[in-house]
Amino acid sequence: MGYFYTQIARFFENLIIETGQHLSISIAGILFLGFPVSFSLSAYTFTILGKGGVAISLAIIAALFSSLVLGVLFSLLYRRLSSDTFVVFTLASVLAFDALLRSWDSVTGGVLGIAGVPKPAFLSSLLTLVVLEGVIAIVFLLSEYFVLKSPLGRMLQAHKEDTTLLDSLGCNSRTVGSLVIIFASFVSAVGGIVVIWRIQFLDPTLGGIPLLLPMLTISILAMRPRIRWMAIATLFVTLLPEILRFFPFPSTIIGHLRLLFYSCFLIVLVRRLSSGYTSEKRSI
Amino acid sequence: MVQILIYSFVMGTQVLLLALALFLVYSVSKVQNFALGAIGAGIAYALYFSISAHLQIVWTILLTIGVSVVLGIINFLLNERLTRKQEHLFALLTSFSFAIVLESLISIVFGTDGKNIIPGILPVYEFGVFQIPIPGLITICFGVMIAVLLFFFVHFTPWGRMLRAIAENSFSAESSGVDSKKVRFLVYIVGSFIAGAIGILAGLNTALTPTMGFQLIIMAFIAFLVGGVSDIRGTVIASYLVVLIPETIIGSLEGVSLNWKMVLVFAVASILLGLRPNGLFVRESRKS
Repeated sequence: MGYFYTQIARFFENLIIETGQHLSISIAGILFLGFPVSFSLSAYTFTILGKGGVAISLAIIAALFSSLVLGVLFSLLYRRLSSDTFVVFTLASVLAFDALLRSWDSVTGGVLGIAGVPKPAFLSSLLTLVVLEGVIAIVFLLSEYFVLKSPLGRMLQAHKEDTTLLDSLGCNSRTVGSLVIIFASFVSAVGGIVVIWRIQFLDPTLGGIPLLLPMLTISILAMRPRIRWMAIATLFVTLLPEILRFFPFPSTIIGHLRLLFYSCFLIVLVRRLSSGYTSEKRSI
Repeated sequence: MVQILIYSFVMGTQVLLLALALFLVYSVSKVQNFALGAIGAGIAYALYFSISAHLQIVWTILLTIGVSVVLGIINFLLNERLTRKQEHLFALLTSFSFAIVLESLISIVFGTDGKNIIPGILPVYEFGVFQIPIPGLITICFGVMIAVLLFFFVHFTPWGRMLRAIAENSFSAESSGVDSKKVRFLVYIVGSFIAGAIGILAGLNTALTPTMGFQLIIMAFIAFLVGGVSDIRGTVIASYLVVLIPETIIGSLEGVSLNWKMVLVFAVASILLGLRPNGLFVRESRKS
């Protein structure tokens, strides 16, 4: 049952993180690749504060607040830079933050990471954690559902279609984009905390590219503004690498195989589904 | 301090050459191609494999060139259709995924520990009290040579004129009879060769690791964006700035390890992009 609960937990964790990415990448068309930084920042902030004796609730608030601040910084960059530059810059931020985590070993533990992540006392079993993650995932899914049905959701879809048209209708496309980036950062931060509650160990490899690739894959796969499709895509992508368990690969290459798997899948997806990502308008 | 300058000049030349390759590819396709760094690492590992397998020099050269051409062709084929459909962000994603594919394959085949292309300590050229390793000297000479050749190629050859025409307006160029697909193919192959040369030189200067391509390409991208995507002058200056400033800071402060370099590069780029988001020398024009 432990394996079963773990897979359900992974599904809920990916669903939580993907809620933000679905809004930013799939709906609004903003290729925001800096969410692994928010994920890692909140995880490390919570762990460092929790192990330093700060109350769990305060550590959670501090972790989420730090990622919110990061999201605001990213949104300021988004307002300033062109879309291509923003994409590259957010990707560079993933690398830079990874370097920071590895270098600042007096605080982060460096490449060795931090073990024994504190968690709330009521999370004594994996099942209770799974239930909590399920509740959080449902809350975020409902939030996204109501956002999509609201004028904000229509603005996000219009943002992907044509930002100039959106501006001409009186909506500030940059503000809309900034809001969704901040939300995506916040959601990733929540995901970071629940993931380390399950794994109980934290190192620089937890976020970064290994998190970026599957989330991007889900976002490309669940291109339409449908919660159902996002959930199905998340389930599919979460369980897909489990196929590797049936092959006797050495443990030293399993991580690289997963990355290889996801990146090949992403290439195939992008080439097959790219036309669905572009705007609905007809190109004259 | 001068030793830091020399090292920064060597590293900056590597970044510049990769940024030039990015500039060429971006000019003809408007795609920010992430795969060039990993392609460079792949070619360097191909050379490492040839040398460690004690292949003859002819086979070593053929294998290295063959891998360059094959990776360049794959890179072109992955991006061409998306380029023609003007889906630039998707092409960026494709190139990023291709880079991860190459890095993962390198990690699986060769492992993640550092490798030396040529075993042992490489000779160092001394002039006065200052030293520069032979690979560093080769990097600088190669960089100058490639920059001059590229300048000559782009400005004084028919292919260069076609390249500039496509960079300006690919539709007009095609209507004038320019085969943009052929030009893009050539640029991707040339970019692959330049990336391979940089990968080999970086491997000689430091050590081969599967992620070295990714780190190099990010620095090249930062230099490319900070300098301005349409301004080669800015790219040249930014390539050296993004290396020199962090190296100077690390060299001046005690107890700061080289691992902080990427953090400092990012911080410098953030400041420069915040002040000049369109590039160092590019003025914002009215978008009519």
